[in-house]
Amino acid sequence: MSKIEINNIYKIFGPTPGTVLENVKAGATKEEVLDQTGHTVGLDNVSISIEEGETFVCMGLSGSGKSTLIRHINRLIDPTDGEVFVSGQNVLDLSPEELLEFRKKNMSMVFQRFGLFPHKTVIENVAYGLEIQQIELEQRNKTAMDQIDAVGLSGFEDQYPSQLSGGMQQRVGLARALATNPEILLMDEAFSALDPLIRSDMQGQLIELQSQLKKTIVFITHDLDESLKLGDHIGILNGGRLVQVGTPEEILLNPADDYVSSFVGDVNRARVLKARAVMTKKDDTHNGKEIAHRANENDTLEELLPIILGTRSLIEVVDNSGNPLGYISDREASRLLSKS
Amino acid sequence: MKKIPQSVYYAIFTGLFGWLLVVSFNSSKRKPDSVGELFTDLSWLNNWPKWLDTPLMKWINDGWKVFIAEYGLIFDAIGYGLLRGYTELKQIIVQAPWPVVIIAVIAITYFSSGRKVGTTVFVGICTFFIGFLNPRFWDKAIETTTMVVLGIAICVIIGIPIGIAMARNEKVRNAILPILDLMQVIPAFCYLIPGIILFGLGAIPAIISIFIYACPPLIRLTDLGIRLVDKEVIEAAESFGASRRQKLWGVQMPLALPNIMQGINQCTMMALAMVVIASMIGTRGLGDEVLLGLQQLNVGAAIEAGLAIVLLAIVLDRMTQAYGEKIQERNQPVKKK
Amino acid sequence: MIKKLQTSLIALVVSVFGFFSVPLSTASAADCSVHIGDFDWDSANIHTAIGAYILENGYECDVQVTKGSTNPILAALIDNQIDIIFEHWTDNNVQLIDPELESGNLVFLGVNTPASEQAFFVDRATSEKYNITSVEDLAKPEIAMLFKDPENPEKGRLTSCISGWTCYTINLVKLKEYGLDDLYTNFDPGSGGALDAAIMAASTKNQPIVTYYWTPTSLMGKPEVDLVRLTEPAYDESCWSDMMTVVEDIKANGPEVYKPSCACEYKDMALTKLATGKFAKEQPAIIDFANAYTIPTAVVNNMLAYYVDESGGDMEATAMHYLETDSSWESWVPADVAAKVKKSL
Repeated sequence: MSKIEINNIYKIFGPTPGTVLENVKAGATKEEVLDQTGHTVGLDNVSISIEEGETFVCMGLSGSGKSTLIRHINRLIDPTDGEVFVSGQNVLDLSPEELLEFRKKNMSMVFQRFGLFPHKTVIENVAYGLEIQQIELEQRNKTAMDQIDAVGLSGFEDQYPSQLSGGMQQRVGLARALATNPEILLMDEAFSALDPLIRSDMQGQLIELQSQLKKTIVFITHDLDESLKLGDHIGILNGGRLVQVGTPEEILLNPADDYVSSFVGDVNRARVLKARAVMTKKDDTHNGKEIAHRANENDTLEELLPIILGTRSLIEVVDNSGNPLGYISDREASRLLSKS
Repeated sequence: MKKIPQSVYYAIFTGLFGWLLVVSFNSSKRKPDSVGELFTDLSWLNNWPKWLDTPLMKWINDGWKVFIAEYGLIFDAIGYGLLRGYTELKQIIVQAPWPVVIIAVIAITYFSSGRKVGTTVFVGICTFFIGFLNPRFWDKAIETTTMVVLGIAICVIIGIPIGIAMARNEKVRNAILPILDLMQVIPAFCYLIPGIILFGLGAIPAIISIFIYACPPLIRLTDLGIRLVDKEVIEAAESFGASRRQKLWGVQMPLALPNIMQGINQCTMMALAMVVIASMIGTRGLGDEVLLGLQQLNVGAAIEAGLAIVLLAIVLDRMTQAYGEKIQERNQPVKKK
Repeated sequence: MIKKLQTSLIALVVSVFGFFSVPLSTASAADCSVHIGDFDWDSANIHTAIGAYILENGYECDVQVTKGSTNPILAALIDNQIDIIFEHWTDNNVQLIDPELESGNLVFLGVNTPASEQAFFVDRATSEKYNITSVEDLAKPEIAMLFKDPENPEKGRLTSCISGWTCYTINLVKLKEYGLDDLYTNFDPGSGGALDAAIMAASTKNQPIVTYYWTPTSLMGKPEVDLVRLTEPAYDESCWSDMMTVVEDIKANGPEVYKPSCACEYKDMALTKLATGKFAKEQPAIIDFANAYTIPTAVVNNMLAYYVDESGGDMEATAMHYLETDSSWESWVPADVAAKVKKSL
């Protein structure tokens, strides 16, 4: 079973969601439901499974239900209908006390506007999760200091959040989330409020952290570049419905509908597409051809383009252990870079 | 649900209106002489039909009698407890030499304001000027302050938990809000005079009246303060598995504190206003001096006492305000350059 | 001359604005019309209501009632705009009214309520139990402790008049003169309503109370309230004026200027009726009735209590209640008038 399984979730906002549920299940659209009953459909039959150790990015415009979806995982929001499993445990079966324990042990969350406690210092903020778990002050300060070091905020531990810049505040938020050493990290538009340079910096920091920690990360964003950069898998939400799930390459190369196409149209594909996705699978036709360069499967097309265009010859794509997987020629490159 | 057609409502209301007109005509003392006069002289509509009168007054009076007979003892006990607190607190401060009291006020202000010298000096001078206006005012001001402090203490003990309950539960809020409206709008004399019957003349009904009059803003601001706490901050606490209690005391209350202090500050000012009104039910203190001045048409005396109340108000206001600001600054420190 | 001008000015104001003129009768062609002056306190309202009812239904007069404060109403009476008033606190307005009586502009119609009292009262239970009947009986520490002042437990509490009113200072001087000063606080209840409530509270809870109060009042007519008047040295004009000198001095200069003088009981004031000389000539039959009109103080108290507690604040209903339950009024009017009144009830 996957780490997180979301099965057929419906969420309807309004005074009597139960009465509207049947309508929605029968296929009424968000607009129809709002018009006829005054209820807002937040999520409409969403099912996702997220594997352990991967970064799953949930993408959509505002109002698409992505923030609602992520809050179902730690049950900050209860669904109108459906099931949520985390590590095999049905989250909806938990009693209020069990739910608190579940949140303490399994996951923590990072917020768009940071969600820091303005009346606590940086170290108190970072140690908050441990404080809730009633860990001794000394122990939790030590753990918190380690996390503050890890995000590069040493020396700021006695400041208040409002004394820090946005990027620093979000690093506090990240440190706070990591301090409890959760298996799952929920990041709700975590970098959206930051300006582009800092955002890119933070993305890099997250990728680096993730390469060491191997957490299961659910990341919410409205920014496709960000999802392509961070996500192992991406789910695209539109109007509460999940329109496509797939790897960045799948999304880019085979958009499921016009909505997704319009999203991916403006993306710099060379920067996103990886060698593995571009290559032609290894077969006999390649035997004996001249190899100009050997590329890792995770290299982006952008890195390889100068070589491809420069040499006009084949590039061999290998996995981490050096086994050849396939080949890229200028033919493949130009086909994939042109918009389909 | 099937909708009743609009026309049915119109028919019902028209019928009701017509019936009321007929009733009014029947119970009118003066009957028109002709049909024409029915429209030109509308005095037949002047008399409110006698039987169309809710005997609310009688119900209240009867209920009140039963209430006093059944529960009078409880109020006697409350009154006795408050009275002990009031007289002892008052005695302690009244018997203290006045310089000691001024120094105490200055010390409290200094520390509660986060060591602001300006505020402290200002409050000290105002305190001094109360006695300086008229030596008789010194003890009176202490009596007034004692009542205000006790009144606020009750407001805090009862009001803040109510505010918290309102913030946490929509149903509780919907039930309490109209009561708060009632408490704020009902004229003070409606509870001052019954207060005498429950608690006797003097300081105790005044303290109870302070509660009725001054508590609503504190309750409202506590409720508002808690609900105004950033939703993300609350979610952050929840996402770490904070229980309702941990969330309340660790996050909501500290962040609502500036608003609550604002509530206490308002509560103080309103309490002071009520103590002046309460002089009409035999409450001693500065309000008594104002009332006396007015009853003797001695405008000078009334204004002199009024000024003393203003000074006392400034002192109490600055002390509570300064403390609120101190908390506010801790929550939202100014960005360092 | 100026005074005259003043009164007519006030009268003009009365006539222009008409105050609360309430036309009570609709009989279009009555042989008489009466304009009654009424005041803004409830004992006067009761007499007016009874008088008006009898005039309207017994004599079939066109009755108009105008209600206002003492001075404008008296001015209107002197100006003959108002014909008759049924309650007049004679002693308060001697200087204004006496010349008018002498000149014949106004005529005196006798007493309406025999006596108004101002005095110290003790609740009957305490009075009987400890045999307290006079102010001298109060002058014992153990008696004072019966009326313990909660805010000043060493002393008894004499619930007094409202501070700022003359009676508060009079009571202060009396306490000193009677030697009660060290035993009792002269406690200011703050307002008339508060004083009533304090007496009511003590009566319903059966707590001892010693208080200053006065009649006729609705409170005195309530069944729960049973107070015994304490005797004081009898009223003596020279003693009273000595005391008042001290009282005025204290009011002006504070309690420190107190000098021992004298003290005696309040003078009981008679409440009377007045009519204009013109009206008396025109309507001798009504004047006969008005002259005969008199109701004992206790009955007035009871009616006031009925008005407050049971009538729902309806003076006319209170008047009708009196006429139905008491028969003494039948002797004031000829038999045919009495019959008409009874028929209308």
